[in-house]
Amino acid sequence: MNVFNRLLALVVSALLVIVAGAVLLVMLGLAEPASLSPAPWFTDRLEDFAALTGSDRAWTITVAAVLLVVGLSLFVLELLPGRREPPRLTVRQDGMGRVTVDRRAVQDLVSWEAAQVEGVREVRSHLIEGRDGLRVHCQVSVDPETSVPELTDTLQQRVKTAVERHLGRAVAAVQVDAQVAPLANGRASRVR
Amino acid sequence: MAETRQNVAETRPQETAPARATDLVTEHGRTTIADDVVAKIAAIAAREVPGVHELVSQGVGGTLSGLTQRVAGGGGDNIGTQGVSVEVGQREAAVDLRMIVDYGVSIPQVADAVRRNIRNRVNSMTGLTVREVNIDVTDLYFAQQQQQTDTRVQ
Amino acid sequence: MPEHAALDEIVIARAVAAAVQRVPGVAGIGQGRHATATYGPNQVIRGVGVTRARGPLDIDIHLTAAYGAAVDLPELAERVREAARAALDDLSVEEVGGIDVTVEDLRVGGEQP
Repeated sequence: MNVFNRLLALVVSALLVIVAGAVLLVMLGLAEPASLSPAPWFTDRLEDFAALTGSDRAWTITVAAVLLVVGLSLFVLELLPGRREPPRLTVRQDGMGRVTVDRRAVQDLVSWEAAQVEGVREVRSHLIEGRDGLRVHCQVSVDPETSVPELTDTLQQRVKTAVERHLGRAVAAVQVDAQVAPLANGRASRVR
Repeated sequence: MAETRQNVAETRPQETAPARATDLVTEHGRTTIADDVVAKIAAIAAREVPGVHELVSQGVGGTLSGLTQRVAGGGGDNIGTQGVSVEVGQREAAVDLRMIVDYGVSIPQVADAVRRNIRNRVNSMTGLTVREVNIDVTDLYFAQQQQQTDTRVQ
Repeated sequence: MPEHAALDEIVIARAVAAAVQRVPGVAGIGQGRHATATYGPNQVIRGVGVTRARGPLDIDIHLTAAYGAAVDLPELAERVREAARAALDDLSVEEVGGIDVTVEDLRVGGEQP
């Protein structure tokens, strides 16, 4: 179902890109209708567009350009990896069944590992299933007096080891975005 | 809730009765093994594997239901079928499990052991062949969970 | 004659229940949620159903098995069936139809808390 929807969205956005692109090329005089079109009826439509003049022409160009951009961005978004991530990671799938781990459980693991690292105050993690293995993206807020490069190193090692040991799957990369936590107490700033 | 419904599937007598099955019909009468019993066997088999912390039911926070079970029970016969759902046919069964594993274990290794144990136990106790065991690990159990919350709040 | 028949059924049920409970591996009868029962004057035998509807006597036994890794439930059911049949023979009940056995639950750890 999900795969089907995604495929449909891909096809629709691809069609949108092709049609809008063709119209645009013809109207800007960059291509001849006959050289672009695969079928006579489409050539006729394109020639209708090419014949437009004045404000009609300007409007059509604008609309086609907008449609082209919309189509392109839809297409790219659909193709981007990591979108609509399944809630579970599969660690094993064979004749005896499937073994999955909830994404949240892995995030808890990352949080737990991070909490063991000196200087880490809070962490939010995100998992991406890359072709070469799992990619873990951590956003951490750290104590101001901590050395960020050192902490990043330790955290990367810890997270990689822990995730690989628990899931039995390779971790391709652990990306750490460290942010120094504000010195002031968060509670104080909330109450003016 | 759905698990309380005991499934005593009706079957037609067969010409050649299978040697063993959950629903075994002979000239002397029919033997039925309730789905709940198969689920219980699977639950016990899963819990026997070190590293399996708890089986949890779908939905509402697994840890919560695990806790409730531990608080409510405490006695010997407290193994329920929560976290386990089974599909039982004439000769075969499929099992779906949701569980929490202990921090520090290799999930694939524990899962493999669980699958083997369930397959062996269900087969030897009921005669059913387990076709498939699907396992979902919903959570990890950290022994020093308290400590973790403490460091977070600091 | 219906009174006489009812009495017979409860007697049969009681004898079968007693015999089944003595079978090693049986933790109890009639404890399940959908257990069958036989009713008689001032008494109920849970876990054993006796039906005479179709001519020969049909017996339906619902039991809880004691859990053990070495337990073979179809085999246990067969022993239960044999015990029930022996009890029926002792009562000289002729014309027994089927003896259905349902394992409706498992008990772990022997005794209930």
